[in-house]
Amino acid sequence: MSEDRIGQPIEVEGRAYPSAAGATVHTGEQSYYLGGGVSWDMEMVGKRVRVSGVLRRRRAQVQTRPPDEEQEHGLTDDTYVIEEPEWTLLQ
Amino acid sequence: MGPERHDADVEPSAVAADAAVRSGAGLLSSSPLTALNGRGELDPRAGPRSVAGLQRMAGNRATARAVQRSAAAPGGLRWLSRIGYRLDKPLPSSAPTPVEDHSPNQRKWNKTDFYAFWEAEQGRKLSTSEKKTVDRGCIGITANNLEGGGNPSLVEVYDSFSAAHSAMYKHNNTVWNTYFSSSLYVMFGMLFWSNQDPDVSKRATPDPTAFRGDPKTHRVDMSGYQYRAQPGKVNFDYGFWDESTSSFWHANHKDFGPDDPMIVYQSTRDKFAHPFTMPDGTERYGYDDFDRAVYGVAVANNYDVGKAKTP
Repeated sequence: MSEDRIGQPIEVEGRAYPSAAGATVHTGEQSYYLGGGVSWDMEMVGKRVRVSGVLRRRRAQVQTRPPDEEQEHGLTDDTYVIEEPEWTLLQ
Repeated sequence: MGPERHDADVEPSAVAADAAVRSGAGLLSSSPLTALNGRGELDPRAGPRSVAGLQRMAGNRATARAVQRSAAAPGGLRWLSRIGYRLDKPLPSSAPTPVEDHSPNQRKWNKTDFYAFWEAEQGRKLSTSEKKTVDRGCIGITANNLEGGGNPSLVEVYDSFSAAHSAMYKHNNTVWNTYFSSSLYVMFGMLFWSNQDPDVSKRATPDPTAFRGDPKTHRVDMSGYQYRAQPGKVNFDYGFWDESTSSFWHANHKDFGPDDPMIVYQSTRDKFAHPFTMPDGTERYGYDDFDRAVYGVAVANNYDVGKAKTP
């Protein structure tokens, strides 16, 4: 994804999944987290949704260390977050 | 592979005492071990000579454990507690307010409330080092209880809660652990991603054969596990199984300070590792980040299980 889309409005359609770091929508090519503390329960698994908001990049939270070093819990990659999300369930 | 004893970690004299117990009632009947009842508690009628004999035979640590068991027995003097509160009961008015309350399935707590729960149960303060371990997130909660640091041992891991629970029970009821060990076995859950390929571009899809349990023993070989995450997802979720509240203690992530604090989750078995299926037919547990749920069994060297109130 090009850097110039960061900070811009975005609208995506995809399937909803509950992820450990928050609600996500998978478009098939890209996964986006929903900001604002949105969480989806198990009934939303795989449902098609449309999400709009402002795109932000979230930096990785922790590093994957060698197995003999102390591990920390969190996201190990940069991820995309849709802030101020508005979402609708698609039929 | 059967349950293992960890005799290398214990006092040689105590191992000899264990062997003496195993060797037969003749020796037992004339040994200081007669000071112990069938539950490994010190007989209230045991005099100083019996205690001194037990100390010579099994060592100070084992004798202290017997005395501790005795005190914890019904009618004993110890006050038993638990980490926090049961999920299936309303919170008392004296309880702190959870960050979120989804009881009876889950409550979410501020990290400092978890500190307080732990300290109230264990009867001592968490050290700065122990708090630093807990602050590593879910893995920190379990690591602190096992060794006070490091990573939880993945030597003995099972593919089901029941297999791990059974193994834990057996370990804690061997002659050695009943009478002499000052540390008991505990269990923890672990959710993770099966594909551990070092190339992130090859790690997006599950590895259908990796980290499966042996059909007979249910043991899972974790030697190939490298703590790698599904791309774009959280790396793992460890949950310390708390028998006294019948819940797993885990977390959202490590602590990042006031702007993004660690929140401690208290979840039922099903909430922690709820199974579901993705549209492509692959399995997930709890969240779409994880396609394996396993359960480890290990000695708790930094957490006194004996101080936890039984349900």
